[in-house]
Amino acid sequence: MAKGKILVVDDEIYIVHILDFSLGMEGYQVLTALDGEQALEKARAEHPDLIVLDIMMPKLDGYETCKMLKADEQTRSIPVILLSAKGRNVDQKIGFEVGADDYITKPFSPRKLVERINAILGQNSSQRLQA
Amino acid sequence: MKPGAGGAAQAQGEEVLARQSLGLLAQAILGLRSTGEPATACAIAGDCARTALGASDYRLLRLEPRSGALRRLDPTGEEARYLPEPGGPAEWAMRHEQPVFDEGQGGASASREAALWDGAPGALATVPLVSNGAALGLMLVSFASPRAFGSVTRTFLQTLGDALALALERTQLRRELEEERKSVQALKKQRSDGEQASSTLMSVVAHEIRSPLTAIKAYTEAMLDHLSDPHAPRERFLSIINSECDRLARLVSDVLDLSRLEAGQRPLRLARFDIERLVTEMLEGLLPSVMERKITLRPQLEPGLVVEADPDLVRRLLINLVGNAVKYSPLGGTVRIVTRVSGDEFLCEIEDQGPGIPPEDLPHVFERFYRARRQRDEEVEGTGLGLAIAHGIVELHGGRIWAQSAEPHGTRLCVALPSRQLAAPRARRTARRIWGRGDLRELCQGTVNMVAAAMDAEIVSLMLVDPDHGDLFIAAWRGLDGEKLQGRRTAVRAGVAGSVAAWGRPLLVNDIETDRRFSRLNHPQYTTKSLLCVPLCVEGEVVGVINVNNKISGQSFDDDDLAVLTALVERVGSAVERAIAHPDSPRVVDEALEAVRAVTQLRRDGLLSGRNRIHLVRATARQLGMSEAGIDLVGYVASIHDLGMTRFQEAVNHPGKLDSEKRQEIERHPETTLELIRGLEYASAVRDVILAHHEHWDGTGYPRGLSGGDIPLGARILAVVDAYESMTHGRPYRPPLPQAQAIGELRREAGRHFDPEVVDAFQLALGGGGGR
Repeated sequence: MAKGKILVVDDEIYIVHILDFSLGMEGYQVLTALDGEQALEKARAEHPDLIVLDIMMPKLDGYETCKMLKADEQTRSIPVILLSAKGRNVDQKIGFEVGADDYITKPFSPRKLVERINAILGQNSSQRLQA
Repeated sequence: MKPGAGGAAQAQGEEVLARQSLGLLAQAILGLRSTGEPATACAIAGDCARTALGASDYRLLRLEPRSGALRRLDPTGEEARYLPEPGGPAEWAMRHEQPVFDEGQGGASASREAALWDGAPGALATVPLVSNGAALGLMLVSFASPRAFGSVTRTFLQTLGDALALALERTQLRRELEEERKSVQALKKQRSDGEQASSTLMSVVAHEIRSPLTAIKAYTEAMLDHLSDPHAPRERFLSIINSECDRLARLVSDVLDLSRLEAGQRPLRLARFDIERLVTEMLEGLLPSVMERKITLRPQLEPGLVVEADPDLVRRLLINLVGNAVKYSPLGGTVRIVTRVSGDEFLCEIEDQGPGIPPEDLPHVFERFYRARRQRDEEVEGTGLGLAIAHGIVELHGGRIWAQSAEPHGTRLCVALPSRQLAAPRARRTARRIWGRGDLRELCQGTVNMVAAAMDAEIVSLMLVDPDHGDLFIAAWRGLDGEKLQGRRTAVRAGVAGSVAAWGRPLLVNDIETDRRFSRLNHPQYTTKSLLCVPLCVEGEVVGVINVNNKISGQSFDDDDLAVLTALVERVGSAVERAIAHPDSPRVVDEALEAVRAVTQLRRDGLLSGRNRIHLVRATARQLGMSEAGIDLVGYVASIHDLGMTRFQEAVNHPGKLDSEKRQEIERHPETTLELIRGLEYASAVRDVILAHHEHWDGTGYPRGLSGGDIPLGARILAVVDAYESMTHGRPYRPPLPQAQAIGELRREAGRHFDPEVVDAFQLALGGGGGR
């Protein structure tokens, strides 16, 4: 039984692959998308438990995608972790303004990402229990 | 008219003038004060002369400070070059900075600058316009018939000339100030633009570097975390890490290549080669990636096309362009490669059937990381710098590159390179005029000798643009084996000399073997590794370069050497300019040649300032906050300011024989220096410093007895450094002093002999490693 469903969105195919591997080893089911539009489609269709979203992407960048996810009734409650090569404070601020739940800068440690995901999902499930 | 009667009338005129002159001059000066136009100022002065003296006409000749050419200024404000009559009044007045009053006794045959006037004047006053020790030009006042110039008339004309000179100087200063202000503004803007561009570039590069780093970091950590897990696909992970490392390495080397290309630090290594063969070989090398994507290459190459270019760079250029086309082509698409010749240019077109580029983006595709802003296709590899590098390579060859949309879809990249690297037609015309004159060829050789002496160099060569072939040939040399040189030529833009000729910037190479810009250019002739190369510019066009190799002392050249060399060669350039402006006056070249020989002689007499003195002078000037241009100027003056002493060398070494007559003569050596350097030196700032370097702060020096701030700062610096060098080196009749004692002596004389501030600055410069 999978721990949960994670949607990984990045235009760099190698990053998608390694997250697929690391999260898979951790017992998650992994969905992938290579740009923002694909990400929206899969989020609506598959209702993942969490989304890892790159910022610098073609078609629809991570900020826009996040904004649209948070504006949509169907996907609003899905936690989003932004993933980007930009590490400056300004970008973090924008990230939280568009409603992201966490922020990790590249290059990142897959182990730490997994820990964050565990933490967020654990917290959420306990919140859900309380509710 | 009987002379007696005329004399009486003129004597009466003098009296009338004496009574009215103050009022007339006051009126003229009032008018001059309120104008900023040279032509109007000239008209005011001329009208005053007409009213007061009954003059028939007037002319103003303006001196071009750099070239020394005279320009006739018309009341309309138009200017035209004027060649003074040889031995005529204009030439004499300029040379001696004294007025010439020709009363007409010489009759109609006397030289009165006939070309200036509608009718030949009967008498002529030629007044030099001098302000602040610098000649600005001449005022000529003509009279219909012969007349005497009494003392009142002479004083009147001179005063009028002085007032006009002041007005002209004022307009000139205002113009210079305005230009200065503009150039400072332009510089500021350029700097802030540059900073902005470089910070954007830095952030883009950082982003591009972070992508492969992210993959490397993630895969490495994943491997470490699952070392014991037999299911982890280690081989695949390692191969990804490996390819991402390659991507990183490519990116770093592309960034470096591009920055070297853009900084103009990659001289061309030109060769003539068959472009068809190069393209065919290049395409074969691309076959693996072409086959993988099932792309058809369709080359249409004009056979037997030979171009002169840098083959390595052209190969790189074509790989980047064709590689780009292959990457963006759909699977199974076709890439067309066309090469042909058109006039003096070699054209190359590369067309793909890819998705194409929006028309508004076409001009931007050659910008760095343009790709990064475009839709990203995971299959498209590359650093985003390929086209920017292509652009840099084309620029370096003096060619053009552009992008077009292809029909029905796709992109066509076009390159036009000059088939041969040739000097500009104007440079070739000027070079033809130089090479066609025996005296200028002699000046070339004299210059080489002077540079060898001034730079203490074993090998010096002057390369001139070949008027017929458009490349550079060795026109004069020293220290090289002449026979081997006949065939040695270099194309403009090729190698060290060619890139200096192409870009017109002086160049200092400390060590040719470690300097990456010139790896593989090292020639066996360079037995030491340090070299200087400066452009020879005439009328704004580079007509040649001067190469300097091998300091006899075995040391390396430094920035101070480069500054002095640049100053010397600039002066030769302006002498050549004057010679071309005055083709019928051989004296221009004779004087320049005399000056060049005098500088050469300085070294032989041991009077040429050593590097230590030039270092100290420049370091002191820097300490005093002088501008870079000011520092270059005093550094240059320091190297040649004792030219006049060459004539008194023996007397100085044997002071016992010095009688008062001899001493007086020696005290005139600054003026003698000016006399010697005249053919080379038209910048009045230089002359002022030379003339004043023996003045004392308290006014007890020579030749003019100036004091305090009236002495130019450069001259005050020279005085201190000269004294220190003389004390610490000693003279034949006086043992050298230790440094501390010499400084004590300078301190004691501060406020008397020397400017105290300069002594302070000198001491700081000395302490700060200014001396060696």
